[in-house]
Amino acid sequence: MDNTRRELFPGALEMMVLQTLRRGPLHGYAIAQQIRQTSDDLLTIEEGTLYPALQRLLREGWVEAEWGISSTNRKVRNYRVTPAGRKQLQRELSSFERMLAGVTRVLRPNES
Amino acid sequence: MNRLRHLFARRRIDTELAEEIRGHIEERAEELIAEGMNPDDALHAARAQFGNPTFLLEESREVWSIMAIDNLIRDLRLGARALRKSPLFTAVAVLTLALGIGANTAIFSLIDAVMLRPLPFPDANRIVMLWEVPPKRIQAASPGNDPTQNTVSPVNFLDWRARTHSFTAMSAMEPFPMGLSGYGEPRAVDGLRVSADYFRVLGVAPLLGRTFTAAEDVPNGPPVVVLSYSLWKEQFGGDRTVIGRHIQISDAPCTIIGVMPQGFDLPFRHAEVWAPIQIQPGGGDEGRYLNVIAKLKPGVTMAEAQADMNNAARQIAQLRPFLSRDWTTNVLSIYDQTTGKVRPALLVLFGAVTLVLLIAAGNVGNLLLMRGAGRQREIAVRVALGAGRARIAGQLLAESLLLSLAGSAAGVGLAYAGLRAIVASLPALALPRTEGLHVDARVLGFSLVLCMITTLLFGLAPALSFSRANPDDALKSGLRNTSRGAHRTRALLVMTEVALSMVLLVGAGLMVRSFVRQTGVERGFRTDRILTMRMFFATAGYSDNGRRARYLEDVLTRVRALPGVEAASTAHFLPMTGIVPGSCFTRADRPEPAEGFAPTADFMTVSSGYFAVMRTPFLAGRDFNDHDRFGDDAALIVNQAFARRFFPNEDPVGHQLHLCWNARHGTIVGVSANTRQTDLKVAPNPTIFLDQAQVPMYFAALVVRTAVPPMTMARGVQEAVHAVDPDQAISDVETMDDVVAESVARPRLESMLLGVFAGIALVLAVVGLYGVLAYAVTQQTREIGIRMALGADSGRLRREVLTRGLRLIVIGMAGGLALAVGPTRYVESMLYEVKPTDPLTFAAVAAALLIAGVLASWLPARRATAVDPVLSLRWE
Repeated sequence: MDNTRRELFPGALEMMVLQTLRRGPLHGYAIAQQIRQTSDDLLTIEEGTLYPALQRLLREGWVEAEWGISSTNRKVRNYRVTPAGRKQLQRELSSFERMLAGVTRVLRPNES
Repeated sequence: MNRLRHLFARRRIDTELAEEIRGHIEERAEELIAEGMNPDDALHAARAQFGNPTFLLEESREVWSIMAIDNLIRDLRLGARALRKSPLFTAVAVLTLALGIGANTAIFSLIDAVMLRPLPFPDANRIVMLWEVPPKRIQAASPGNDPTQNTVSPVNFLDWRARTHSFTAMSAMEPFPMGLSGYGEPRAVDGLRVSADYFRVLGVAPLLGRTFTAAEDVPNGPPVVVLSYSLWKEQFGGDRTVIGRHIQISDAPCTIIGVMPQGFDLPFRHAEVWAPIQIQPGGGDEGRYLNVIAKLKPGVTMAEAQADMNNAARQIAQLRPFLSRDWTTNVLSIYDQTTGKVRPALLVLFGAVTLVLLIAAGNVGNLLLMRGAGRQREIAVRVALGAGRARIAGQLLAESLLLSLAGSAAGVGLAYAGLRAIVASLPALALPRTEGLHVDARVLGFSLVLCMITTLLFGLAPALSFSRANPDDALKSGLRNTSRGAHRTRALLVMTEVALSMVLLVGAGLMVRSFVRQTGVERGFRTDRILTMRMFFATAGYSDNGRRARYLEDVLTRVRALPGVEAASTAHFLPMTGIVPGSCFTRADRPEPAEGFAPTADFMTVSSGYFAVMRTPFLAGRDFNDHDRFGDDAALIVNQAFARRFFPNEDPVGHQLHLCWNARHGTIVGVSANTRQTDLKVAPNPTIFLDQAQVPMYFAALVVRTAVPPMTMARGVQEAVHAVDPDQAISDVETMDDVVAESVARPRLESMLLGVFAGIALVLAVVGLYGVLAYAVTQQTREIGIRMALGADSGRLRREVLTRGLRLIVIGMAGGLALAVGPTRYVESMLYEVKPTDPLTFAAVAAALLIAGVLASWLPARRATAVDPVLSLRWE
């Protein structure tokens, strides 16, 4: 298996998917590509885990899906973020930043 | 909501997701190929990068799952697997439950058909039967008759109708066998003469034509008839042009004016033809022979109707003291009329099957407890691995549910087969309304509810107790010792089973003894080698009494001449057919009693030789003979009960009586032994016999004593009758043995069913006892082995196991004794000459249980001492 894989905290993948979809609808493979590229391959996820995450987002009504044809002429399911999804992303980002600030403070105690 | 929708679209979404994942991998592979990798490697790499698709699919699916439902499905699947792994346990449990649930389903469908379903008439709860109730002094004279349901005099009926205001409609009914001819084969049909209002009371419109009008229901009104659906189909082939056609009913021309729809019939008064009753007001008719049915006005209560009727009865008593002094009335709902007499029996049976189900549930519960004990390690492992208590209890319950479901399915099958056998074994009217008897949605619904209740009954306790077990202890001790508490629970269950089956056995024992008493009672007549058949004499051809008397003599002469016939006679009603008319009389040598105070007796009309055919002994005087001619004063034979009551210290022979009925005079010529007439349970009433040759009736039952098996003579006797009159309609050709058997068909069925249920209960309780003891012995294999190795006496070990079994039985029986006192009181009304505390029954039941208990304990006791000490110590 992939030894270099970084463990993500719960909900992180969903946040990244929502963030990626903010720029426009994409299908599963394209989402995976995007995440890999924007993270400069620092964050390698096992690509398959994307799909349970997408199902969770569908379940909460944060994304919608629609079957269509991709640029490579393939039948694919395109995901689009919903208004509720955008709102959720805002909430998550702010709480993530607060958490990150906290973690940073703990990891660098000297600065406080 | 999203989730629910997903639950139902699960399959579609799974395939979509699979397709999406496949596309993803392909796309990645194509990209790798474009980068220069060879196709095989590319696909491999794409897959590796993706991860395990099956696992991911599973995870995606779980996103949507509703935990409870998914868990239930998983539990059921697990349960099914666990049950498949122990087929013997499963078979025993399912069979036990099938017996319990099957018995309940069968009895419930019986109760449903007979008691719960509404009668097929609109506003049936407003339909009532009206009866006269004789004063106490008359009730005392005929103790065998039901005093609350005396048939009604026609004049009183007319007064009821005129003087009450609680009813929208009231109709008299008189059953009248009829000979139907002039269309196809002549045949005897069950006719019912009714008032025009009959169809209004029942509220049913004809299928074809019309019913008769009040203008037709008057003395000497037009002869019109309405046909039942089944007669119309059978005799007239469902021909719609029968309306207006003329047929011969009892040799008189009649016009068919209507056909009633299918199923139109009173459950206790079957009829194929209805004709207007055409009562003569003030016709001097002093008999009481009508049934009366009426419909309450909306809003009128039974009590109000009863008060209204009694008020009318008081007026009538002043008007006609001779006929009606001190007589009152009884208003009875049509439901009570139909099922009142079978209700206690059905309820007792329902109680019995409930006990059977409890015992069955107890047994399965016990099996589960033992099985659970064996699985404690498995359960402990699961608890240790983090399975929640609720999940474990759930899984154990799911197993129980599966068992119940399988048991219910098998039980419904058993019930279906059993019901068919029951109905086939019964003569038509022994149990009313069984035509509506079948296993339908209602019955299945009942079984399903029962199944759920049963599951909880036997499954809940084991499920809770095992899920509560401490995994630490269970893992350490393994199989060796199960908790003392569990053992006590099992012992308690077995004792309860023994107690409940004791109740059932006592009930069944009482019923069987009562049945034996009833059928073994001194009847005063023999039934073997007697052929019977019913004849109705066409009224037009034989309207002349003298001609009718001669006709019957001609028939008897021919029948008696047949080879194989020893004797032949007639009676207007056969014994054990439930009907005997009554009337009053006075002794000629005593002063006339005040009006309405004349004593009453049962009246029977028979031909000469009747007592010889029935082998009823003569105590004094003579039989009827050729000298008792039509037109002369009547010769009378009285029975012993009559002689004892009205001639206590005299010889009745030679005394003269005035009979109220037909205002005849007669002389007593003989005294016969007592015979049971209405029913085997009913003690003989004082009875006066008249000679058919002198008082010819319109119908008679032929009784023929044969030298050969009676049914072989059936054809010959009918031919002899038809040689006198080819149009004579004959019905109900059967042996006297069968007539008597039919009269006790219901008590026989009741005691048989109770016996079967008690038998099942006994077997279940014994199996339960055996199971508990055998299990205990298995548990103690090690202990027993050590004791034997130390030189313990094997006889003593055996006795120990035996004693333990007997202790369970005896304590259970003591409980059963206490329990049995309550319910058996309800059986009292169904018992004939047996006390509900009958010591013989109790002793027999106790002995049976003890013997069964010893047998059930013997095998485990033997097994205990067959243990090889060495093996037993290695056993773990």
